[in-house]
Amino acid sequence: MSGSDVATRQVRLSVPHGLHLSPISQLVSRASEFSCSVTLSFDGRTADVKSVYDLMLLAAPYGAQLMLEARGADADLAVDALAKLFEGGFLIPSE
Amino acid sequence: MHVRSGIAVSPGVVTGPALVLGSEDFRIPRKFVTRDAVDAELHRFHSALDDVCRDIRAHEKLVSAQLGAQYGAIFSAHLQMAQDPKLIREVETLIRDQSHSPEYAVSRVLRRFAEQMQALGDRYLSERALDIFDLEKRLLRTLLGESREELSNLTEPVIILAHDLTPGETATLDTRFVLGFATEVGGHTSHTAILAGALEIPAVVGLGRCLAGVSGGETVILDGDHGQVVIDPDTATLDRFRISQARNLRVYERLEQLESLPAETQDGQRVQLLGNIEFPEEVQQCIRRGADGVGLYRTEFLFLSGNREPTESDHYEAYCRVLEACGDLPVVIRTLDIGADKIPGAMQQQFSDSQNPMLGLRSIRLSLRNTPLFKTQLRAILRASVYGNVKVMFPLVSTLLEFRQARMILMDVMEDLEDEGIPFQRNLPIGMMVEVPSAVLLADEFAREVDFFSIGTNDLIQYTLACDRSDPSVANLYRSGDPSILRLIQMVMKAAEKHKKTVTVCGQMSSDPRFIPLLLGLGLRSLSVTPHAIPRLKEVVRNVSITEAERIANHACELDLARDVEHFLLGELSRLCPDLVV
Repeated sequence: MSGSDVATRQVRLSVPHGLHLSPISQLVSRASEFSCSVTLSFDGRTADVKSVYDLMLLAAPYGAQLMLEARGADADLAVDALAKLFEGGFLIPSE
Repeated sequence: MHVRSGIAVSPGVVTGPALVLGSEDFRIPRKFVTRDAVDAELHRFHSALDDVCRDIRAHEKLVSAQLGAQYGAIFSAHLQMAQDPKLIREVETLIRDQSHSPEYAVSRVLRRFAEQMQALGDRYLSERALDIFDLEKRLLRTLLGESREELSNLTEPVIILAHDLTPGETATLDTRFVLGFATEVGGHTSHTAILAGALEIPAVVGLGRCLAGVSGGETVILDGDHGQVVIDPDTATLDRFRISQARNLRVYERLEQLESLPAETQDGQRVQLLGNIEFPEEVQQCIRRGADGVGLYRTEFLFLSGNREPTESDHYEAYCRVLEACGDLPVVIRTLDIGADKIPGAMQQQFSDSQNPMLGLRSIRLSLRNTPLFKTQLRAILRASVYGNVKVMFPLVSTLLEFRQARMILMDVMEDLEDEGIPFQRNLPIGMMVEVPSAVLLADEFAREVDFFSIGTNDLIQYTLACDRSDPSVANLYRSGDPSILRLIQMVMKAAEKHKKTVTVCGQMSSDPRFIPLLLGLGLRSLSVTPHAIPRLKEVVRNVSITEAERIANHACELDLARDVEHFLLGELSRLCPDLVV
């Protein structure tokens, strides 16, 4: 375990309306569980995945290919957890 | 000297120095702070942020419980926006490196975010800018809140001038020092206005923009009888004020003598004068003035006083206090009548999303939609019912189905209590407010099913004349003397007489001495009014006979303009009780 762990993963956004508040909210709360820093890049812009404002300004549309990148001790775990949200289409498990 | 007219909402004429409270558009008083204050300002920013987050969490919980988790989720996004690391970092940098005040820093950072969001050209995202502005407002309100704290730290009598006062602020006014208040916005029956009446603080609302030039400390005459505010009056005006105040005091003292006398007409008809209350404490004001009971106990304050939903015991304790103070006198408890306009903070967004919150999900509609909330209140009412003479009343009933559903839920709660062996009054009278025109049109059908009616004129006027009572630009339409309103009251009376049901009029119309002879003439024998109006109304009742009241009502019903009706009634009042016409 070292603080210089880096993990990256390419993800695809399959949410019909793009990266809007609900998926953003899920990403932020998931990312905030980890101590590493996580960024999401799209179209030349990079956003801090722990910041709602940054993610909104990413303005990623449906079908966008994004790059997840985590740096820090739990980088692998963070990327796994966040990539899962993308794979699951950000569906909220029904109550 | 500067004279402004507004809407008189709570009577009394007072004079004193002005205390001006900041406007809601949050002019930022101070953009920069001194270097050595930076640590203290950073601390101030963080503690404001903590307060805002706590509020948001409370709203999230409340909304999730009432409307479901999907609505509550809106607030979790708001919470993330408030706790955003980027926001915090940038605000801290501005305070630390640029000596910005927290207010200025918060406003600059959030406005830049909002601007960027709007520039994206995505309709959904640009709408999120509104959420950012909302957060800015919350933070500024909390940060600037300190200057508003003056309100609870008063040491000398003042007249408060403000753009607006929230119901919460009004409720906490220190009546020892607040002589009266006037606001730029607000209407007749805004919650703030109703509270001013309850607290018996003279008040005028809806003055329009006029505070920009007032810096505080100026002498102000506030006339809550006529809705006038004079800022910096000249000597002649001040003298006139002193003379009329002396006269008012004499009349008031004479009326206080009426307490122990019955509200009985010249020809011996006893009239029931009940009080409208908002807080349990007000029962004393009713009793002191010789009220025959409480005709309208508004329970909204239980819902508004905290950020959490009131528990059954919150309800129960409040009701028991009222009942205990009333002894055998009747108490009509009205179930939740919250409207979108009355729900504080972020709850407001849930309900006022529609263009017409007054026509939306409120009052009994909200209760029927949120059965747990409704049942909690009904359980408490029923449990308290063994301690006094309780009646329950449902507000804003628009269809027979609503009334039947509400009654059915009440029956369910009765059954539950019975199963649990908890005592309650089984034959508790069940009534409804008549305040939607549809209920008047079907009054005959309703009269078969209810135990009593209470005509809520405030809403009835608003819904009949289709005018927003809080909008000063259409205030001229909002008139108790409108012939259509007289006609509606006649219809209710007719249906109630046929089925031998009692009718009370609550609402501002019945607290206005001009309308008393008219209402008696229309057949009303029970009025529920603001407690402080009781002595004046008793004076009217005692000076008129039913025969005369019927003549007055018959004539009033032939007039076809509200203006003419009100003018005629004023003339009759000045003949019957000249003292009351000021």
